[in-house]
Amino acid sequence: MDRFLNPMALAVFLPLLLAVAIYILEQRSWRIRNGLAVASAGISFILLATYLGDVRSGAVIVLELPNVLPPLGLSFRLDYLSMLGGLVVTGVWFLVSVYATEYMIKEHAKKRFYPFLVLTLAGAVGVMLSADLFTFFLFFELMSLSAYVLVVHEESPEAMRAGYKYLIMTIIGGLALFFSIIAVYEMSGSVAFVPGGYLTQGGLLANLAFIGFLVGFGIKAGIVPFHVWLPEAHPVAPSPASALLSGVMLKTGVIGLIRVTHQVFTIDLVRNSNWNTVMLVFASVTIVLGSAVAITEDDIKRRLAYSSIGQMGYILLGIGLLQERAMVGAIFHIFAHAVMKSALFLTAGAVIYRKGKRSVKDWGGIGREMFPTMVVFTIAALSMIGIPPLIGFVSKWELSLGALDNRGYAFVGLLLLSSLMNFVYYFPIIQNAFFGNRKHGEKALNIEAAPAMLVPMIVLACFIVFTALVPGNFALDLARKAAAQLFLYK
Amino acid sequence: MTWQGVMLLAPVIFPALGGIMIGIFRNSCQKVRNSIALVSSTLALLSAASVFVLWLNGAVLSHTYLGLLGQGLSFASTGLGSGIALIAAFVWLLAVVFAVAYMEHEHSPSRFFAFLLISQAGCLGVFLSGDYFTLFLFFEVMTFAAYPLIIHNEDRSAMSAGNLYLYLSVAGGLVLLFGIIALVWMSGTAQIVPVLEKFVQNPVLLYWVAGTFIVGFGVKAGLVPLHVWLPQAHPVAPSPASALLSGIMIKTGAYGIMRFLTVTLTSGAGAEAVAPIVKIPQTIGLVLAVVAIITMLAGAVMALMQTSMKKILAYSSVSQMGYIILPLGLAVYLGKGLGGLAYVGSVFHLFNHAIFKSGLFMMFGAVYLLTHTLDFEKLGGMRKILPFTAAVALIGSLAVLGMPGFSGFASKTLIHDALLEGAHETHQLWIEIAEKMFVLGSALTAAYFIKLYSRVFLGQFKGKHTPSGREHVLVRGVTGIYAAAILVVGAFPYWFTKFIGRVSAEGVPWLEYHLMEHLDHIHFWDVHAYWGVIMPALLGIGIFFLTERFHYEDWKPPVWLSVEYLVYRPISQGFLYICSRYVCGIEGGIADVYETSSTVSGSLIRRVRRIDSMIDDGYDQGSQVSTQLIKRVRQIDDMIDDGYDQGGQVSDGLIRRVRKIDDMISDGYEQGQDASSQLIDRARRASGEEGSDDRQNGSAAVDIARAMKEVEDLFEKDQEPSSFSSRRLIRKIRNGKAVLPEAEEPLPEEVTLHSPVPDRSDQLVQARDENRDQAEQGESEKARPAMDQTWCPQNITLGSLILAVVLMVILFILYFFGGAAL
Repeated sequence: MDRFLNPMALAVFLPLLLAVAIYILEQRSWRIRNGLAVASAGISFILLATYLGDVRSGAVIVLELPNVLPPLGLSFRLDYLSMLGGLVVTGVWFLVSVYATEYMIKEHAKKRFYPFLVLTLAGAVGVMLSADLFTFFLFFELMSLSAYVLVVHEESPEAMRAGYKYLIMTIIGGLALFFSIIAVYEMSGSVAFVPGGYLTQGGLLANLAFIGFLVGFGIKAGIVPFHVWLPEAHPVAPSPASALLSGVMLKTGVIGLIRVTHQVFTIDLVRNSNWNTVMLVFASVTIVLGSAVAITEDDIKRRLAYSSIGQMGYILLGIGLLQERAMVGAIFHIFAHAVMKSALFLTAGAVIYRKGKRSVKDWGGIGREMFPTMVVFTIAALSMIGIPPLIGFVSKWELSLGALDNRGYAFVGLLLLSSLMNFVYYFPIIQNAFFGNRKHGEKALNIEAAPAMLVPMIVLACFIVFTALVPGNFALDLARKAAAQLFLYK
Repeated sequence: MTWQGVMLLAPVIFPALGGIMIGIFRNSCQKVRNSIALVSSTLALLSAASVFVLWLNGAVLSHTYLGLLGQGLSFASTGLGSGIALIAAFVWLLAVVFAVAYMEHEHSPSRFFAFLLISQAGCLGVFLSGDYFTLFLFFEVMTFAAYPLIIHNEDRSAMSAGNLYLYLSVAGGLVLLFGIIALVWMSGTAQIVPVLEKFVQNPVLLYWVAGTFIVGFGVKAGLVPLHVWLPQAHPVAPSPASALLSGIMIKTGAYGIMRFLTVTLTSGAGAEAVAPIVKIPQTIGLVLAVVAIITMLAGAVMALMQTSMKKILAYSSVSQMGYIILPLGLAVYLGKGLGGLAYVGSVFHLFNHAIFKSGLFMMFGAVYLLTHTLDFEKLGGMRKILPFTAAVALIGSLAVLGMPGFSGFASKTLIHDALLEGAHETHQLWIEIAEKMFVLGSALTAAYFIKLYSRVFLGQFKGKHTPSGREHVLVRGVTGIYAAAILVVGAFPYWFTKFIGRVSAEGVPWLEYHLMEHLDHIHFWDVHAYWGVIMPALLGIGIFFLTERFHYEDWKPPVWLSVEYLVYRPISQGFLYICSRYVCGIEGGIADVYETSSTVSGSLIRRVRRIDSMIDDGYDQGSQVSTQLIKRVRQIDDMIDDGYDQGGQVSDGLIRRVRKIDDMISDGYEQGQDASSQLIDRARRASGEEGSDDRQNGSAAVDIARAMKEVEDLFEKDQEPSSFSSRRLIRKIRNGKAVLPEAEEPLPEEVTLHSPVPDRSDQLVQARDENRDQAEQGESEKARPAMDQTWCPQNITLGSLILAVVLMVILFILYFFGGAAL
């Protein structure tokens, strides 16, 4: 029993229990429900943060639960990568939950929303911390399926359609993963994540397994051409859910890909089988396509969703380059993009909440009405473009150097081109918001978002500004150590 | 954090904090805002001055804030950097003072001041940064902070100019970032140190790095053809901002190119190490010089065409950037020795231009403050209304022309000398041509400044209402300071030349060689030098009158001649077209693939459903068949039942017969008993009559009785099997259930049958049902032996056979049609 009572196990399983508790207790009082929903992410965050010191000093904390779901059992591990992932998930989730308590006031079916919000959190935390493919898969599916409820929350025809698409794609991805896991088990007799990897033999089955992983994780991460659900599902979900979908849940896919390419397959196998080339091609297409389509989108949330696709391309690029520095960039970008994109979705949500305007053309003058909100938006957008000293620049810098390490001059050009495209689709919004004119006949109102919505956004903005500007940048430190650990066995 | 770090960071931090504070207290009163702005920029000036003074006294500051942005932010005071930083802080303070007056009647003053100070932080950061990484950071901060200054008016022209500025700047910044990243990757350091030898293995990358640096900084510096944003953006900004944009911010570009060419592109490991690629920097210098000549002439020609004060000044800035970059390219081309002269001329002109161009923007801004127009059509005769401004503007204009006694004289003479000497010593044609172009450029400069000054200050006022009033006292103070600075620099050309030589040579190893000797040979107060600037001025007067005569300014060049039209619009529109047409087409194609696959899978599913329904039909038919089978079996069952019934009747008859026989036997017994009792009576009577003979008779009677008993026993023995067998038969028929409770008990004399015939047949049915149940459970095999033990084959073979068949059939049916039938 004591296995379940250490902080790490609690961090994983507490949200699971609290989801049930919320479902039971929400009949009594909405205060308890909101409190528990916020607390679940907060407590998980604190529990994980207690390990931060240990992990940063090199300790790897392992939790084996072989008796749960035998014969494979569950196993969790806190290394650099899962530490960063876990903190990102729980931290962003906490802030978004706080935001949601205000945002969801206008929404229906809150009793359904909150338990599933926390259930999805449980899945996401489990994914980040899992130490083998089986556990990963289990929590991955938990997360994906419970997120469906968040996607279709509005229950409008578009939401149902998008949710259907999401569900179909998720299931296809899950099956692809399942196949690959079976194949890995068949080849090696193990499904664990082992530093350095253990599958050294290529061949048909290995290729198929890799394709399965790429499809399974690619669907979740929104890699072109597996992304089609993303621009449908993210915009229709309520803004807090969009923030989590884009900010956090996409990252589980790339975390999986990192784990698989380094801790299941060996780097040599990946390189010899040319899987890295495959990933690079996918990444390039994803970057260009995501950014370019975002320029043409008028709906703010769709634009942000396509932007997410492009940014996920950065991370895939970092993985595919198979260079330590590029991996630093990729891992740091997991953190950076989570913070930036959730800030953007939250600000967009605040504007939609207050003004009901989704089309960016209608955002004229909003900067004057919702000044702090749009300042946060601007900071996050500038960071997405990669303007120093914001965090987006750091990942771009590391990624570019990693690309050069691989003699990939073109990839540096691609990254910079994408930055320019980022600018092209973010800047008009900012310009219109601050310097544009509101529509004729509309009155200027001071309609700043409520504190519960504003504070999480400002906290995220502070992360964007100050993470890179404080000397002990924990995220970059963890990213560097994680990348070093991944490439230790090269 | 050491004191060095604090000292270096102070010029950046003070304005940044001031800007943020103004942003926070943006709704506070004017005085608070103005005092925050003034205090922070004064502090910035003091700290920048102290950095420079420390450098002059030999204390070269440097500090790296480790861990910031992953790389560490590095600050260092170089002579050139801290010198320009000092000038920048000085100009900024003057601009803030000017802005206090200028912004009294403008909207959003808080925003203006906040971004004015933040862009100052960025700008000073550029000059004080110790590596390209830090430099880029502040470069970008400055770029973005300057945007709200440019679009301050928020009208149509300001917004479009701002867009052009920002898009080009961001693109340029990204190009520059590529160069920096490639440089860092190739050389392993971002520090501004000589690293040319690292590129020996990869000269192609060197071209790339140099190209990206020049393009990236060139956008900011306004090199043709990257200048298009400049003549649009500088005029639309409020005058203090224009002054800073033209005076200082474009110098960041020039400064970057300067550092890159004179420091980074030199060998840190001796000339031998870079022998294979030593020509490359020379080539780059040549290309840069050519670009600079084009910039110089194009800017001047365009300036001459303008009819707006600020547009002329903006194009003049473009042209003057050519004056700064041309000697730089020449210096890189010439290298050691002669190159030093050109380099010092470049730096000197950079300083000078920073002063006089920002001053001119403010001087003409003073005119704008009174008249609120920039257009020559509505100006003129201002010398009567604003005599002070007319005087200082004259000083500023003469400084641009490089008249002796004004600040531009020394730097222009240096550059001209360098060109002449370069042409003389190397006999390069292009340097000779460059010298001629330089003179032509100076003549054009003179022409457009004559035009500018005469249109604004001379002649008669052309507007409707002659404005009245005077300059704001702060405006007078600021423009006066500029005029004084110009005159002071102009008065001491030798001292300033040497001073700038000392400042600019630091960190540029190849320059220190013979530099001061060369500078000693320069003569400023000399007829040649005078002629060098007066001749172009005279030429300029001629050009001016020619253009006036032929109404040059009315000639509007066709729109397709503009760089914007030729280059940028096709690029941007093509880019957007590609994005919207092809990439979105691909996106749509992917979506189509998914749609198609879902349709196909839908039709597949429909087909599968059809197969499914066929299978369903099959099952239905099968179940009908089995139902019929079951009906038949039931009929058979009924028949068997009937058979049992008949069998029961038959056995009933048998039993009746047996009972009859039994009765007959018992009658026989009774008769025998009667007869024997009569015999005994007779014998008893005989013994009573004949006493003696009694015993004999008695014994005889006993004998007879015994004999009778024996007969009786015999009878009984004979009877026993038949009655036993009949009893058994009855029991067996009764016990289809295989129950024989009193089987081993001795037989009673009389057998009574309790169960009537119909009951028995019921029991039989029941037994059969039970058997079926057992068969269903697969336990009939267990039940059957128990029955076999008790069944008598002779009598009920038929029954048991039928039973077995029934069981078999039932089992069979159950086995084959079990699911469907039930």
